[in-house]
Amino acid sequence: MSYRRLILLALTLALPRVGRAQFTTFIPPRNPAATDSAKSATAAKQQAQTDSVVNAQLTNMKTWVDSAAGVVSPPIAAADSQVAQSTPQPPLADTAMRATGTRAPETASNLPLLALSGLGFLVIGTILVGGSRPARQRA
Amino acid sequence: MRKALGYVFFATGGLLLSFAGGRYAVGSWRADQARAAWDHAEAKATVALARSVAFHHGARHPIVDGAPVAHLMIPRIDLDEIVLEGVGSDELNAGPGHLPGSAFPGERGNSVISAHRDRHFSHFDQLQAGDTITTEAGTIRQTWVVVSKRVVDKDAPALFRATEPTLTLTTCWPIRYLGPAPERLIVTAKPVVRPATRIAVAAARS
Repeated sequence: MSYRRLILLALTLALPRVGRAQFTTFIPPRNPAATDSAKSATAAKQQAQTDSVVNAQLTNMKTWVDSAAGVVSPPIAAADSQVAQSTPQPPLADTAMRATGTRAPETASNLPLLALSGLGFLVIGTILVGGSRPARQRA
Repeated sequence: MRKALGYVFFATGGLLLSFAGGRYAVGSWRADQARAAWDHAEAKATVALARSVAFHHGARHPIVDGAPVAHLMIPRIDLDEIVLEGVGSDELNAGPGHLPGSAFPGERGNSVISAHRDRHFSHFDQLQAGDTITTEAGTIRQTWVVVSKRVVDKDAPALFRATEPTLTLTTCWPIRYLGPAPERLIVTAKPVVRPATRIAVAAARS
């Protein structure tokens, strides 16, 4: 076997492996301890902004394509961009209160007074009825 | 004459005591009914789903006065009561009442719950800033912390709009007072954890 053939054979065997190795490179995950929290937060924020921008662009593109094709579509883009910009707040639930303030509900109760008065009347009645006996007996 | 007067007093006292006792008995019976309704799984799921739908779609369906709408727990004063819709005489006789039109506990806004000082809020004067309150309304279980306690005149404006979830509990003041109390005790609480924990949504929907 000639020297050239040997080189050719070696190249034929080695090149695919080298090529495959280019596509199966292992990328180790980032070391969380090493990352700066502030940096990662900024990166995440930028990523989120980028995502929302991409989302908005895609939505706009769909609207544009639809409009170009003559298809009437609802204005999704505006709604989407609003959602992306701010988290929706639920509507204010209380309608009972005025801006200037409202009185507290009427929780005053007469029942304790009535119960106590009733007890008092019972005691007085008992004394009056019971106390009249000795007087009559004396008479 | 004296004996006749004694009988009149006796009868009047008996009537007054019967009336007051009857009101307390009816209130206690209605409170038991409200608790049974609340504890009933189907009723709870229905209420939870209704609340959930109302919360998420912003549409407030009118709730019948007297219907159980929330569960109020205050460990400090050993209070564990079912809150009924409405602050009328019948509702407050049976349990703490939710002011119609105010937010439900956990919702955005001021949620107002009132009760009589001689019944459900009889130990309300022991409540202090920093005490915790737990409410369950629909699918929302919320823990609150008492942030303020104030006494106002009964005619003074005491309830205000809030943009954040707020819980306001009111009762008469002084707690120990014979006759209609001239003032109101206002306790304000803020949520401990936000947003409120949603409970049993899956169970309510299934």
